[in-house]
Amino acid sequence: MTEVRPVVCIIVDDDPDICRIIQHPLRRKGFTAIACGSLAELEQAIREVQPTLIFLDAGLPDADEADPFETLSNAHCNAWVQLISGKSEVDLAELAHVGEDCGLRMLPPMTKPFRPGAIAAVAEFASATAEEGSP
Amino acid sequence: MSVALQAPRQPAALPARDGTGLTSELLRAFCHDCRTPLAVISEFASIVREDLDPEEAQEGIELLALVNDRVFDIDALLGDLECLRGALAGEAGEASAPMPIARLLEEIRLLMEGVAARWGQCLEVEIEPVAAVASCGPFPCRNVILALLNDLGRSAARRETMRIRVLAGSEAGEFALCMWRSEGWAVAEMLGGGDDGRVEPRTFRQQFAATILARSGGGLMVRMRETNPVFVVRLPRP
Repeated sequence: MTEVRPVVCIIVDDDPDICRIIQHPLRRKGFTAIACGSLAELEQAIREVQPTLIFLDAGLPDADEADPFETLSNAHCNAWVQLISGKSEVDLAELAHVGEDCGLRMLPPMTKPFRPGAIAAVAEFASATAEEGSP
Repeated sequence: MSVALQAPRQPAALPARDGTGLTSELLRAFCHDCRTPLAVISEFASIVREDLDPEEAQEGIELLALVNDRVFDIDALLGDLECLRGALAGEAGEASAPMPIARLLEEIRLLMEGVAARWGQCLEVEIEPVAAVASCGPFPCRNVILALLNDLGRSAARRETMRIRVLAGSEAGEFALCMWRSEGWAVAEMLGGGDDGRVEPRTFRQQFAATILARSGGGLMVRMRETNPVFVVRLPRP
């Protein structure tokens, strides 16, 4: 029998309200959703769980923009990384390329405010890939 | 045993701010910081809406959809502000290669229809054959058209029609893109040389369009009849 791994999502944003509103649809889908407010908390979280999906805010208070990529890369993290930010699409696309250069599995960036249903759609995608055994 | 205390490492000195006001970086940060609360508002509205029973709370569902629409209206305004900031700072994009106006309008058709739908409007686009091949830089045209469509929509009654018509301009080598709502503006009135109904750009979006167009060698003329405006975007053919 194939063992179905639970889908674990990490939300990294220094705004706790953003973490809450992203957690809500994820938990409705039965996923485990962990909120991190800083790079230090992300480092701690990826030592403890193997996430399927990471929502990553592009501007954390204790890090430069590229630092989380380095952290995830050093941890050989194979999760999908969904950049979220209030930056312009152009700025965010450039940052996503930096993540790809670090060997991370970057999803197309998502600008705030999110399109209706966008969080759930990303979660569906992550769930599907988890069921296929990847990552 | 004595312990030698090391002075904590001092952070590198930050460049002094010169206090010249609305810098490019300040505007960029402002737009960024506005989008996070917008995201919270729109997601919260979506969460509440999902929990409502469509049979019993139709009006509540419609009102919450309006919250989402208005959030994206503010987001579009911030996008215009960032576009203006980039243009005034001379950032890349302004010099993008010209393309035929007909192709540009086709490329942004979905975006235009999205704007129209958000304001409960239909959209009709008509391009005169003589003007269809006229080219313009996609950067100013795209942003200007979407901003002016939003400006038309914000004061429209629901279920009107927003119209875009591209005409050869009154001067050689120029074309005009006219935008208005419903019926009531004839070509001669829109392109006429007189000052009938002509007003200065007032709203942020009108001023944004006028500024961007002026930098491209074009211009924006606004005419108003009662509460029904027409925007005439004049652009030189490259």
